[in-house]
Amino acid sequence: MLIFWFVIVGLFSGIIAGMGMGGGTLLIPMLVIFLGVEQSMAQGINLLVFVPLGIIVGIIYIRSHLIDFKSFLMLAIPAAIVAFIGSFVSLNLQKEVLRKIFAIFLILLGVIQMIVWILKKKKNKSYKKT
Amino acid sequence: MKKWFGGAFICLCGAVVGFINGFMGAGGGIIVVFILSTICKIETKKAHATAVLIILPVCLVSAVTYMINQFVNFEIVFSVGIGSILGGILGTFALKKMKANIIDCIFYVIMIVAGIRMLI
Repeated sequence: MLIFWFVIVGLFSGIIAGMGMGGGTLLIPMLVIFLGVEQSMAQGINLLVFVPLGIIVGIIYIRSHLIDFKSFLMLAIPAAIVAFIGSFVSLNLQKEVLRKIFAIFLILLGVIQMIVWILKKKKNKSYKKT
Repeated sequence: MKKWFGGAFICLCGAVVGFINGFMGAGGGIIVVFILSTICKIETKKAHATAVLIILPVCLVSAVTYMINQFVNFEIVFSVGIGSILGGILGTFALKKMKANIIDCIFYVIMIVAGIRMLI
């Protein structure tokens, strides 16, 4: 039965991830809150799950000509090099502390995106009027 | 000169994203979308699609680090993975038809609520 819930949780976060909206920001809290997975473990699971998903989704987008390769190279190379430092620091933190930092990060991302969303909506409206 | 500086700045942004994504195990994609659409001035759909590809090697490097330190449960990865691959393919279709709509906003509210729930 538990496996069933893991698949469902994966399905939801996959839809969001496939849209490039951050599936992990949904998957990690679902794993931690509803399925009792520990914070670092949830993060590790999300990272690994994204690899096959990213490959498949990436191929679909390359075929649809939706990729900007110049910015891909400029961002992906430094990001991949620094990624392991971030992981290393994270794994050496106390779990409770990491969970709190993650929670604050989640709230911040949510609030900032919501503000951007509202601003965009206002801009679109004024654009249509003129 | 100015162009060179812009490129260096984008690379620096990439490094910050890499650190955050490794540290939090997620969230890098959202920040990449933001960078692509504001700094690189790429249109929304392309920004979302490119973000998926950018975050892929970052996740791979981080995932290996987590695996070496045994912070990965393969049974869970397998079941979550099946669900997320199906969901991911559905998501690509959803993006192609995407309009700035109410679903985005619901997603942000869920993030904030989940964050508060994890804080207490």
